[in-house]
Amino acid sequence: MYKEIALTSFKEEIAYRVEFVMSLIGSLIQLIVFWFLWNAIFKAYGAETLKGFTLPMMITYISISTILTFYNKSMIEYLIEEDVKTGFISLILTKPINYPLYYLSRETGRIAFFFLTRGLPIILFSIFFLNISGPASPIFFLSMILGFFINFFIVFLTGIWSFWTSGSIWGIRFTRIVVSETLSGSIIPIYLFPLWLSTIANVLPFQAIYSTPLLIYIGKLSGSEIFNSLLIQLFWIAFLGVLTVFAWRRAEKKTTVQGG
Amino acid sequence: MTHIIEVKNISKEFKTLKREPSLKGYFKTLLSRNYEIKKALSNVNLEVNEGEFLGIIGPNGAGKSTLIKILTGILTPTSGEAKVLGMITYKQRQKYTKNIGVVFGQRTQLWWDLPVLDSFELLKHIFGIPDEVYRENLDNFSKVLGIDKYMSTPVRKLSLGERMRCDLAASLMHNPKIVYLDEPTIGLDVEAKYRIREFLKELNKKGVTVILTTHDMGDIEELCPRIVIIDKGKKIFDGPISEIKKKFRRERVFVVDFQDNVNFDSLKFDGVKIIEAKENRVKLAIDTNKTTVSEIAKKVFSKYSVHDISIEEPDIEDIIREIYKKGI
Repeated sequence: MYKEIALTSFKEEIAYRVEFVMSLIGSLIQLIVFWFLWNAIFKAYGAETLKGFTLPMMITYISISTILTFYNKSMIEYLIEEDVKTGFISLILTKPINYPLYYLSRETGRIAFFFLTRGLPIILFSIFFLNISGPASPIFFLSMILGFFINFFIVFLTGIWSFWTSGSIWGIRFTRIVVSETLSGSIIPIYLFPLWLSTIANVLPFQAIYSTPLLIYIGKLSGSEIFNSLLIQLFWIAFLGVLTVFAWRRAEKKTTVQGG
Repeated sequence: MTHIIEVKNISKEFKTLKREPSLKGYFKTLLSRNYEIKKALSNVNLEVNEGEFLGIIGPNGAGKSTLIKILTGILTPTSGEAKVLGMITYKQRQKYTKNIGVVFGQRTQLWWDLPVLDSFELLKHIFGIPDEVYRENLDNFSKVLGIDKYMSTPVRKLSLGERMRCDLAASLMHNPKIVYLDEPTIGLDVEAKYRIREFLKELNKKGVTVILTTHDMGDIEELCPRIVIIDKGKKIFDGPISEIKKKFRRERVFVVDFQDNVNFDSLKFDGVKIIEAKENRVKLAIDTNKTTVSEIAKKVFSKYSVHDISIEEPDIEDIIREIYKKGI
């Protein structure tokens, strides 16, 4: 049944064609701007490598990052807020359905749609015009999927706030997006951060969503480093997963005690 | 026979934060939280047999929706117990909800951006409905409810009446044993109401237990052999609608057409009020606690020659209005 929910979400996305074209154009513009930026940085720096990154590695990094950051555009917070505000949550509760799994399915459908319709053109563009290389290790795909789950739990947890605070989800979502853009290595690799900042980034879950798969893709991590990074990803999945179940139980209880 | 619904002594209290107006009051609430306890239901008992069609009525804010929410398992009572189909609704929700259909008239359970059919398909999978059952129900509902034309229309583009019919179909796809309808005819035109009522009658004939809340007395009179009246969180009446009429028919209207002009003052018997007197026609309100219609009729006949008489039934809407106003 959750497979069908994912499929439905996929279909729902098709309904928004203009949105689709605009966001593809937006992603491409962003990629091209970063391409110019890193070219200029390397030219000004004057050396072949920057803290172990070559220019082609950097271009590959940002190309793949452009696709992975589709994770970040999740609307789940708004959807949960809508469910709470409109009382749709009560109707969902009258169905034999698990709410977190319901949204996990919807998010899977959305991401599958994004990857197919927007990821593919970006990949083709990057291969033909930016000469990027393929993944250094197929483990990248596993790491990417683990990152998806970590992101889902974070987004769902921020969305769950709607059960207690009504109307302020915009701010919470904005903070989530900003933090996960800056402290995750999705725009600038954490390697290039000053030490204190990279320390902060490394104890947060966001780097496990973006930095880990991206570094595996460009071959920056060795065998044992890959293994350790995957363990860290699994840790975050377990930790945030438990937190999600706990938070959802509280939210559910609040709804069934105080009314929808 | 065991009851399909057994509600034992349930009460429900809501705690709401009391906030005083003005800036000063706002800071006061920051420092000390004053909670106000609102009793939505107090000590309600209810038993329903399989196959019944029960109407729940009551003024706005009386606790009808709270009761329905507890019965559907999405609200936990403060005390007491609600058991339906042998399950405690709010404790075994995931298992219990497989057996019920729910329509909240003010909200839709269909996916807003999706064509109606896609919502149905999704529900098919959520409830694990077998293919044959799904196809048969879909065929049947689209014919009887006349929704086949909207199948590929996104829900947001439907009118209220169209949406309600689709919602009704959606709640029944999995052949639920019990259907809860919270104001399903709210805001609908006469034709849409008629269609929904006819459909519900058929549904009930097939043995489905229906629990309906409404403000429309037409729904009640046409559909519900038994009604429950809830007021200020208490169940104040439970029985057949005829009983309500009998009990509250304190006044009956007796209309008399005389052959000749009469002196209306001479009709002022004990327990009789003249509501209207025009030419040869008089309308008398008879207080049935003090006298009877036949008693008055006898007196009138003995005095004057009468051309025609009629006795007006009190309107159920008037009775209910009076109950809401004065209580039982």
